[in-house]
Amino acid sequence: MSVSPNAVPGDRYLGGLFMFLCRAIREHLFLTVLLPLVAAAIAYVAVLQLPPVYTAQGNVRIGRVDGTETMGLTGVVSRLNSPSFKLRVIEAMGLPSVDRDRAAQLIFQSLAAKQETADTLAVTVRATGAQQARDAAATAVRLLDEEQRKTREPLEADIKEQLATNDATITGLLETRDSLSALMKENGQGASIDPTSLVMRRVWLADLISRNEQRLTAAKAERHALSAKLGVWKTYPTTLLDDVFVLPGFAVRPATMALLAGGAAFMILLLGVVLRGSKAVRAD
Amino acid sequence: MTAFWLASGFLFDALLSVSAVAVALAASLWIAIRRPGLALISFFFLFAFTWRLVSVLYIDLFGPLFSDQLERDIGLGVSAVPIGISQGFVIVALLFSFRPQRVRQLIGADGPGLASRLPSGRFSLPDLAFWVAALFVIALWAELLVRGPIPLFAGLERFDYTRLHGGSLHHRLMDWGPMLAFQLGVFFAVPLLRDTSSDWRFGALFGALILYLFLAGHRFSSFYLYASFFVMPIGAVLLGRQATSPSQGKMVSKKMLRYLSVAAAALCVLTAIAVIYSYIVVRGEGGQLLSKLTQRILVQQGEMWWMTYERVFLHDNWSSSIAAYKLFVDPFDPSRNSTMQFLMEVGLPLERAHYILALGSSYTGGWPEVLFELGGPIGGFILVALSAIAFSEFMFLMMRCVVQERFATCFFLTPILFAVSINVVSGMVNSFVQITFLIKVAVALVVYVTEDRWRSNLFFSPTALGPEKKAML
Repeated sequence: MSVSPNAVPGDRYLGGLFMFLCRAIREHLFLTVLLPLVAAAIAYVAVLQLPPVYTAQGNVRIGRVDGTETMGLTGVVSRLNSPSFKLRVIEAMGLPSVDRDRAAQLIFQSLAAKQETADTLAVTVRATGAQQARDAAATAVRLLDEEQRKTREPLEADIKEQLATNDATITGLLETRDSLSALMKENGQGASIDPTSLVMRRVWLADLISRNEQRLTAAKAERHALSAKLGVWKTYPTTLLDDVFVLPGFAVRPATMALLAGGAAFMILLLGVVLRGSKAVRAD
Repeated sequence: MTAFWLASGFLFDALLSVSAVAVALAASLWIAIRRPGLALISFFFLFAFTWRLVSVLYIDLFGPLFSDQLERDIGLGVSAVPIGISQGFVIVALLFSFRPQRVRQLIGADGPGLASRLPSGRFSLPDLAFWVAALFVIALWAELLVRGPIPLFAGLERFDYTRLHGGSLHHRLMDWGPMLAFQLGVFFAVPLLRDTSSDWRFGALFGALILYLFLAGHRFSSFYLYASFFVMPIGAVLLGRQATSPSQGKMVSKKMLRYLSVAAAALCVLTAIAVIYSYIVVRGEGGQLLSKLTQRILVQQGEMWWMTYERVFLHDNWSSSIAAYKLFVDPFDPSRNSTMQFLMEVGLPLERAHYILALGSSYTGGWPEVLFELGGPIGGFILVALSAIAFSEFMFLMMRCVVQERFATCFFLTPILFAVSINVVSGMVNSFVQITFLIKVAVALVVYVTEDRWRSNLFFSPTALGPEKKAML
């Protein structure tokens, strides 16, 4: 295949650059290959010496009253991610302040929430101990629930109040039913009243019993609806869906750190070698 | 009415805003007429600057007006003055970096014509680049046609298509597309340096990409982004040509600009069709087209700057530490531009901002807002000046690599070019602290030094010199 004299020959250009780089590396093999490997090994070992870090993750279901969230999911996520909330978590866990304690610092920096589904979110936190990580996640959820309870409780109390009123109404209606039944029985036994009045009275009592029954049925239906609002499927607190899952690990993954250290050392040394110039090329 | 204007100071404010905008626009226009090469290099941000400036002026003069996105009234003021000055810094820095004598020295250093310095080979670099890019474009088209609905015909939003149906090549294009366009531009334009015609194969590949984007539901912003990156190397080559041979350079410039005007006209038609189709068919907002376009063109471009102007300049309400924390440490979504996330968080009710961001949307702007949020009303200008100098010097480095046919360096500098360009248009700063960005910078640096040394050997070693030059030694 012929190459136009005006076009840069690809094999010569790319090959030339590559060979230049290879020559520079080959001439300084110790510097460019061995030293980065040593740097990577040191970084790997150094990371292994660091105290382990535990990552806790929990899935959280946001509390609702009568099927409605007291706070939107995006609002909950930003609340959990806010510095003020993180500080509250650290205080609630009884840890020293963030600028003095590594564990508190780690929790403050790592506590994060992310929306998972339409009504759940994932909370992740890292700590220096497995139990501490588990506690941090649980505390965050507990505090969140406490905050939401302030909004949730008046709503629940309102429904409960309605329920109590409804119960009283039902009790009253039941008592009325008993009284009416008793009157009906009495009416049948009374022989002194004339038959027309007796029939009229029976019709009147039957009408009263029927209307009482209607009101009782309506009150019971209302009670059922109100109870359903507080049912566990419609009203529930903010809770962890499962036990907090804890994963042991390192603050930085040793392999990543080794790769970074080795790569950085390689780049710096390669730069130095190329800048210094290749003896082989200079000799050409 | 006149008395009201004078009494309220409106006339003075309006004059200030109009003057600031007029000076900045005149400078841009001067570049476009007198330095077309530089205008092509700077098209990406000069266009964005102009649009934003016009929008900010509209808000200054016709406010208070309602912003659909912010759901509040904005306007009246002299917000065009600080943004005009900031843009002026960039224009001045560019003119200084690209001063003609400096460009001439650049060409004179080792002269163009890398091909003449290398022995003939088995295949040419442009052929290799063409076949690699062509394979990608063909596979991309095949993926679009085979995988599922074509967004333009199915009335799908581009984001929805990418999320629901986009294949791996489509995702690669979304991540690296503008950089590919830049590389196509390099190989399209470089032959002009050697008195030959531009390589139209790469123009055709670029056209195929634009058509693909059109079918994939893209509208103005993608066309503008891709086209801007494609013309950048053309601008560099035109500057190089003018520096080596002013008369021939002018001729090449005129010819190239004629071709580009035709291509730009076609792109404008395509953009208009895509925008109207998107609003009327895809979004079903035909009835409100005019008001939507007014908001899109005249309000949305400048509204975020107006919010920063109000916070920083009018209320002195800014905090470097909070801004830095939200930009670099704890943004809402660290994988995206944290600048606009931060600006939206401080400019909108938090929940609404997070809702919009969670949908994957974002507002327009970011530069110089981010610098004033970080530095305040005085420090902001210092940051703007520093970023302008860094940016213009980097653009000069890119131009140098194109003109001197440093293809490898150019290739590895392209992601950095993308990051710095996006920074100047949308204020993205968190990309600079990502480990991947640092790796890209380190690799680009090594490649730059390697290519520089290799070229020095090639151009100045005794064996590489011709008999005349050897005789002169």
